[in-house]
Amino acid sequence: MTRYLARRLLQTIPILLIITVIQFMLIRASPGGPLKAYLENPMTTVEHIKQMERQLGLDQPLPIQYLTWMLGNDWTLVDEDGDGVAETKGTTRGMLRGDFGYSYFTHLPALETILGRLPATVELSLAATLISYLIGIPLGVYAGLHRGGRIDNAVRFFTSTLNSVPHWWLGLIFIILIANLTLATGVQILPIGGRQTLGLEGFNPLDRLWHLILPAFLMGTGGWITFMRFMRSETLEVLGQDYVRTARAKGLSARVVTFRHILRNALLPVVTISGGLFVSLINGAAIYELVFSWPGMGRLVLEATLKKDFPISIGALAIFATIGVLGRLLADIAYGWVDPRIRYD
Amino acid sequence: MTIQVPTRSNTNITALQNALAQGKPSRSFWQDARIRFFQDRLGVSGGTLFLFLCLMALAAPWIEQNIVHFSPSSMDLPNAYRPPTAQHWFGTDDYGRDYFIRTIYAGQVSLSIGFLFAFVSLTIGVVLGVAGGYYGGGLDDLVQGVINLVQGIPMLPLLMIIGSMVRLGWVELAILLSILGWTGASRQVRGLTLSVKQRDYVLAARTVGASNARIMVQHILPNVFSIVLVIVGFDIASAIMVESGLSFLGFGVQPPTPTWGNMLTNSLTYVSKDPWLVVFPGVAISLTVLAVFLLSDGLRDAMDPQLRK
Repeated sequence: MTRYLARRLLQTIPILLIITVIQFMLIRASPGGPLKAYLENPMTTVEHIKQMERQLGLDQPLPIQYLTWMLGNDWTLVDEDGDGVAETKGTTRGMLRGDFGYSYFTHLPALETILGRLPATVELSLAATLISYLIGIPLGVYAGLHRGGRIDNAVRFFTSTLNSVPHWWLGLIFIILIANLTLATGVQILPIGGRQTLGLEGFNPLDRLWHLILPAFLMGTGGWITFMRFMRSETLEVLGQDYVRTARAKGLSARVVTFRHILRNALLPVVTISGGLFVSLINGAAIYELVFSWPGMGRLVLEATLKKDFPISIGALAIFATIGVLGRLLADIAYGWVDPRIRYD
Repeated sequence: MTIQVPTRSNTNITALQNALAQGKPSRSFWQDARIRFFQDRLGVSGGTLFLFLCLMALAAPWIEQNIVHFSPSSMDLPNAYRPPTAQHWFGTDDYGRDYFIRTIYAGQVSLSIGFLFAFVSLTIGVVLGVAGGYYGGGLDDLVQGVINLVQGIPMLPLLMIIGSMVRLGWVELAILLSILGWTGASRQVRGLTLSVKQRDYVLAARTVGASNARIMVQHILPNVFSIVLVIVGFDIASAIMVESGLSFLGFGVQPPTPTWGNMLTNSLTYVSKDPWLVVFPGVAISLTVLAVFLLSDGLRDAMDPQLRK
C-alpha cells in the first residue's frame, strides 16, 4: 500500500510539472506579457521596464526564465542595472514557493486571493456531491431492485430527459420562476443568488444553508443522474451474485440482504467515480457561480479572465490541477480501502 | 467495462436457424442493424428530430429570406424586448433582433462545432486507441500517460484563459475542444481493441502474413466501428453542451455571431420582463442533445444485440 501510494504520488509530479509549463507559456503568450500592468502606467519609463525585466529574470533565455519563475531568483544575484555584473538579489520567490505574482488590479498576492475564494467553491461542490449521493443512491438501488416497474421506468425516462438539459440553464429558469413568484406574492421561497443575505453580520448556518440549497441542487443534478445509473446497473449485477442467493437461502431478512449484501457491494463504483465527479464540479464551478452570484474561485477566475488579470486566472490553473490530481488519487485509495479484494502491489 | 463486439457469432442463434429453415436469405450485420434500428421507435424519433434540427440550421438563409424576413443581425432598438408575436415568433432581444432567426442561425454554429469536434477528437482517439491497444508495451504506456495528463488539465478554466487571449471562431474552438476531449473515446476504443486483437480472425490474418497496418485497418477497425458510431453521438452532445457553457460565460464564439450559449449571456438582465430570452436557446440545446442521445442509444441497441435486455 505504501509503495503504491508513493508510486501514485510520483506519477502526479509530471502532470503537475506539465501544467506549470502550460501556465508559463500562457503567461508569456498573454497580451503585453508578464509586465503588462506596468506598461500601461504612464509614469513607467523604458529604463524601469528593463530594470524590472532584469530583476524578474525576464532578460534570460526561456528555459532559465521558466526555472526562475518556478524556483525564484531571490537566492541568487541578478544584474539589475544592466552593466554586466550581477550585484543585487532577484525579486521573485518562484511559484513553487508560493509566489504566483500579484493581481494587476488589486496588487494583492495572487495566491492569497485565489485561496481566499477556494472555501466557497469547495463548500458548493461538497454540497452538490452530498446531494448527488442522497438522491442518486437510494433511487438507483430502488430502481435496480424493482427493475421494469413503474418507478424504474419513470425514473429512467426522467433522467434521460434531464440529462439532455444544461443544468446551469435550469438555474436560470429557476431564477425566473422564483423572481416572478417573489414579485407577484412578495414571498421569497429561496434566494436567487449569493452565499448569505446581504448585510447579515456574522456566521448564520441556517442562512448559509438556505442560500446553498438551489445552487447545490442544480450543480448536483449531473452527479445524481450518474450515481443513479451506476447504482441501478450495479444492483442488478450484484443481485445475480451467489452470495446474495446464499444470504437469502439462509433466511436473512430482505432488509439485511438489501443493506448488508447488495448496497455495500453496489456502492463500490460510486466510490471510484466520486473523486472524478468532485473534481469536475470544482472545474466547472464557474458557470454555477456566475448564475447564482456565488463568491467562489470559479467566479474569481471568470472575472479575472474577463479583466485580463492573468496572474490570478493563470495561477488558479495550478490550484485547479492540484485539486484534480489529489481528488483522483484519493478516489483510488478509497477504492482499495472499501474493497478488500483490491490489492495494490 | 468490457464491450462485446457485435459480430455474426453473437446474434441470436435460434432466430438465425429459424430464418434459415424458412428459406429467408441471410442478412449482413449492417442490414440486420438497420432493420433493428427502424424497429426502435425512440431511436427513430431521435433520428428524425436530429435530422429536422440539422435541416433547419442548413436552411437558415432560406428561412431568413422567405419566411421571417429578418436578418439575425439587423437591430431595431425601438422594438427591443418584444414578447413572442406572430411577427417575431420567439420575440426580440435586447437589440430588437428577431430571436427566432438568431436561434436558427445559432444552431448552425453549435451543430458545426459538434460535428467537427466529433470528427477531430475521434480521429485522434481512434488512431491512438487502436494503435495503443494493438501494439501494447511502450507505445500504449505513452498513450495512457498522455491521456492521464490531458485529463489532469482543468478544461474550463484553461479554455476561458485561451478564449480571453485569442478571439476564437467556431473552427478553432472545436479543434481546441478536440485536443482536450479525445481521451474518453480513446480509452473505450483501446479497451475494445484489446479484446478484438485476441480473436481468431486476427490470428488467422497474421498467420497468412498480413502486416500490422493491414490487420489494424482491415480487421480491427471495422470491429470497433460500432462503438465509434455510438461515441459520435455523445461527442456531438457534449461539444454542444461545453460550447454553450463557454459561450454563456463569454469566452466561446463571440457576438454578433449567435450561438445558443452567447444568446443566454445577457438574457438574465430583466428576468421578469423577458423570460423567453432564457427559454428558447435552452430549449434548443436540450432538444438537440436529447435527439442525439436517443439516436445514439438506438444505434447502440441496433448494433449490439447483447446489450438489449
